[in-house]
Amino acid sequence: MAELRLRISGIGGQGIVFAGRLLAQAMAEEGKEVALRYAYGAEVMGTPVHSELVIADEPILSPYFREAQVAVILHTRAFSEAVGLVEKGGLLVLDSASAGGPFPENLRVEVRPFVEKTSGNRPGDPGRLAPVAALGFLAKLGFFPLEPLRRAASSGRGAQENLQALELGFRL
Amino acid sequence: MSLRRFWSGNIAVAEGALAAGVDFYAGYPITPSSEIMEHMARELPKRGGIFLQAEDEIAAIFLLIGASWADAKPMTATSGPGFSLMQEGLGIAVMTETPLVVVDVMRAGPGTGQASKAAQGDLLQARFGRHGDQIIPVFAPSSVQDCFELTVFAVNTAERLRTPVILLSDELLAHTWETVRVPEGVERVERRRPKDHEPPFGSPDPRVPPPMPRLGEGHALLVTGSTHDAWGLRQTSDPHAHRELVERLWEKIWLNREELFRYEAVGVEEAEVGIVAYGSVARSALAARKLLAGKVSVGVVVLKTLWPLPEEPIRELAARVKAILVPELSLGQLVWDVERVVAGRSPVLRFSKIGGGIPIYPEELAERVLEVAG
Repeated sequence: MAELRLRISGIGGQGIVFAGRLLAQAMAEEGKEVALRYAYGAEVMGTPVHSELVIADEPILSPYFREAQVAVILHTRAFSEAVGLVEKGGLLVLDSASAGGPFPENLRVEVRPFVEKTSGNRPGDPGRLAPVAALGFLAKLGFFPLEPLRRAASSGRGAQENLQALELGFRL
Repeated sequence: MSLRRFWSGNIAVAEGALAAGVDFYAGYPITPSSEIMEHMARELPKRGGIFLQAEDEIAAIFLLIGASWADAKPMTATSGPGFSLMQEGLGIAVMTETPLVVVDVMRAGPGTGQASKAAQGDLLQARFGRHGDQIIPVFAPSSVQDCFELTVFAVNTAERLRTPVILLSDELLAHTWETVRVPEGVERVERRRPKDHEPPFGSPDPRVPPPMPRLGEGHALLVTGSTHDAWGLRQTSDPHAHRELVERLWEKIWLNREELFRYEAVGVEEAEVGIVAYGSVARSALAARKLLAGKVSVGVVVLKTLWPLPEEPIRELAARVKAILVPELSLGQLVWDVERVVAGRSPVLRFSKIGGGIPIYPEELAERVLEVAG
């Protein structure tokens, strides 16, 4: 794919911005052209957050796009504003608990238990490893290679659990 | 040689400031500019600079003025509500010819508005937010690379022309990460020092700013926001003194305006429909042009200097196209400029979007261009 437009949506506290930065860093180090934009609410925690990435072989004219080719939705609170912004024939990846529907037609829909498998639905944890697991899942589908993500995730705070979440997503 | 860095717009602004030699930062944190302050708080003391968190934005801008007179290269960053509070200090900086840089990362207003959501509603405030006749140069990046380069340019312009300078960014750009090519070194302009009893507030050539003495070096120095003569003595009734000073301050910027102009004109020669834009919106304009390749030929003028305004590229675009679209994350501010400059040579159509920080998408801009092209 010469250019991938990806939107990851969830709520503040899930690590949506972190996952965007992780993927952007991994792809930039692969020599890809990358643009990342994230948006969050004034409350920061608990309200809808998006990371949007363009990953390309050529210089990127605009980091901003309406319709993603791939949209990941990891919380019900982000569902309504994100679900309509996927291009026809695109892929919608949903956490099991967010899969309220109805979904737009002409989309491929994949539903996986990212939050349940990473946080076990622990009280106080909105699924803070779910976005990283979703990246592992997208790597399995072939949108980008897993190895650069592993390298990017292997340092910094929480490296071990991030690596585990990547592997878990890759197997879902 | 250049280094590749993956930075957000805010980090690139801070790194541009450090590269240009900014050695004093005072500010008050405010979304969506806070990462600039956080980065300066981390990096500036390591490089021998001074970082201060002020009690509010009024204190911050006046700390910058004091620091500048003590020979620092000062900068602050804020957003709409804080920018409003800084206007008084900016006026004083114009009148006292104090080099400093204010970065305004625009968010949705008025009031506290939507703190974390993008907007472009501060353009007219950046130009006209103070009372009295004056011109403060305003630059606007449209990429993370621009954030680095235009911050360097802003700092150097402040020093070269002995003036405050405003860098107008927006939330979208502030929180966009892109690869930046960072040169190993950048030009650093240093303000001129007085020689042989040169007056600190007078210049025989209005294009050349007077030299700036440094406090503590023995100069008997009066620095006042009131009308003053070449030696800084207050002249609060003399009409000639006021005219001479304020006209010189105006001409100092106006007569040097060609040096300040930064813009890109893309595909203007063969354009059927034109777009004039700045900031993050300009990126969508360039992408819309590509989406329409083979359908409609679109010419895009990306303005990176917003005041004084580079008018010639807008006139050239107007001479070729059947209409000009002006997309803005406001209810229409730049569109007034374009209407004035185009002066009826082609229709000028506003394209406004506000609220929620939602970008003007390339797709919707392309759809509108198709309608206009008929």
